[in-house]
Amino acid sequence: MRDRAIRRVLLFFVAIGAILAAVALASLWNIDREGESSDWVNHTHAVILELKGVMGALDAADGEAASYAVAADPRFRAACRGSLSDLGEHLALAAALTRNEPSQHSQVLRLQSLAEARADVDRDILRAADRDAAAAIIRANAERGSTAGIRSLADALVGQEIALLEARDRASFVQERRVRLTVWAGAAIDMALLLGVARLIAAYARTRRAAARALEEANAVLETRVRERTADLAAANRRLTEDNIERKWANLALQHQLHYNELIVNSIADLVLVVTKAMNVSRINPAVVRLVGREAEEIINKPLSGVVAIDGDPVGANADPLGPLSRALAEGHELRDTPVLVGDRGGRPVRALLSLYPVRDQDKVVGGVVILRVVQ
Amino acid sequence: MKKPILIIDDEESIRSILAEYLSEQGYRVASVATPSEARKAVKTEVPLLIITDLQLEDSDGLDLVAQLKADLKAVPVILLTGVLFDARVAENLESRSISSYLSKTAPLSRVLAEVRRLIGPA
Repeated sequence: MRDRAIRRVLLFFVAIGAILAAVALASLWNIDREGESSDWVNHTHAVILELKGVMGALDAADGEAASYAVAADPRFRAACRGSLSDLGEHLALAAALTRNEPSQHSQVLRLQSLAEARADVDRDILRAADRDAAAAIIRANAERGSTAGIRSLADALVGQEIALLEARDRASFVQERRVRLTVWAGAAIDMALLLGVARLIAAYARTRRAAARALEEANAVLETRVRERTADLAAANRRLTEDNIERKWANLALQHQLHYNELIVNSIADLVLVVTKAMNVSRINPAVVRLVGREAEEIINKPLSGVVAIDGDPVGANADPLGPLSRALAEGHELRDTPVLVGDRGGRPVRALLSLYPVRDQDKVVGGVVILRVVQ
Repeated sequence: MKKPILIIDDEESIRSILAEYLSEQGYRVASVATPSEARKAVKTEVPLLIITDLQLEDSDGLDLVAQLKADLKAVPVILLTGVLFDARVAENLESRSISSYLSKTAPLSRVLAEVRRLIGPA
């Protein structure tokens, strides 16, 4: 989006620059053309001036030669020589000025030829020995009165030059209008392009501002979410830490409870045995080990009958020597102070009173606690 | 400024868990194992609350409370009791030398609630 907008702005400026360059080139070309045209006009006026000078000098020389022929006054002769000299200069300049225009040049040369011929007559008059001779020369050149031909040729040349000047004026007017139109059109197009660029830049700026606002809003939303998420995570972490500590505390409390339970059971002097429903020993207190003289591992997970026998039955002699105990446990009732025999560490039977308490878990008998109190 | 609490218990595990928990809650916790350390600690900084075990290794928790309360009458005391409950605890509670007692099997949230009741939130 950004690159495209910049490319478009650049294209607009390139177009504006191209139009400005074209207008500048057209203007420079026109200035050059005007310069050349001005030189040409000056040149044309110079040609006209020289042609008119030719006629003026020729008329003057003719008049002064005629006056000299009549009055023989040397001042006329001097003046005539001066006019002839001017005539020569005007003819030479006219020939030189038209040397690059073949058609005009040929006409000027013709004019020069005619004018020189006329000037030669005037020179002859000035060289005449006296008035009669001068009059004779004048008469001998009857065509002297034909300066009208020379004038006509000179006027035709002047007329051609003036026609060229007028044509040039018209062309110059058209060219001036064209250049003016080009300049104004270029300026108008450039203004339009500048307006377009301004609108493009304004639209781009609006888009940028909108994008920046959208980005700021998105960032703000993101920051809020991050803050909320961080707070949630921190809270969750705190809860987790608290739960963890609480669990450790609960485990510790449980250990305490077990420790004290064990202390309580172990501190009882009577023999305490925990039995399963199948009458196997699952736990004993130290008093059992002290009396029986066997290690706990030798008693635990073994039948209770290995330790105790109903008084009257030798230990281990009967297939079900603890039948009354099994039945009581199966039926879920207590037995109190049943006489039994327990084999001590020397293998001697020791009389004791057995009490059996069923252990219930949710109203279901899962085992029993046997307490043996020695009665010797 | 965090509120200072002194924990007295001869079991390191009890001390560390209680200290960690109450620190997490924003209290400044000092913990000691013996009565002599407790006496030193209260001289260094008077706590806003004392939490002590009833059964200490070389002393009775109630005797220690009586000694500490001689100088720190306004400081409330929470007594932590184990499985074996001592009837003197209730007597001391009535004589106001102990602010409350809690079993060590009570959940920590219960301990915190008692702490907040006595000295306010952290």
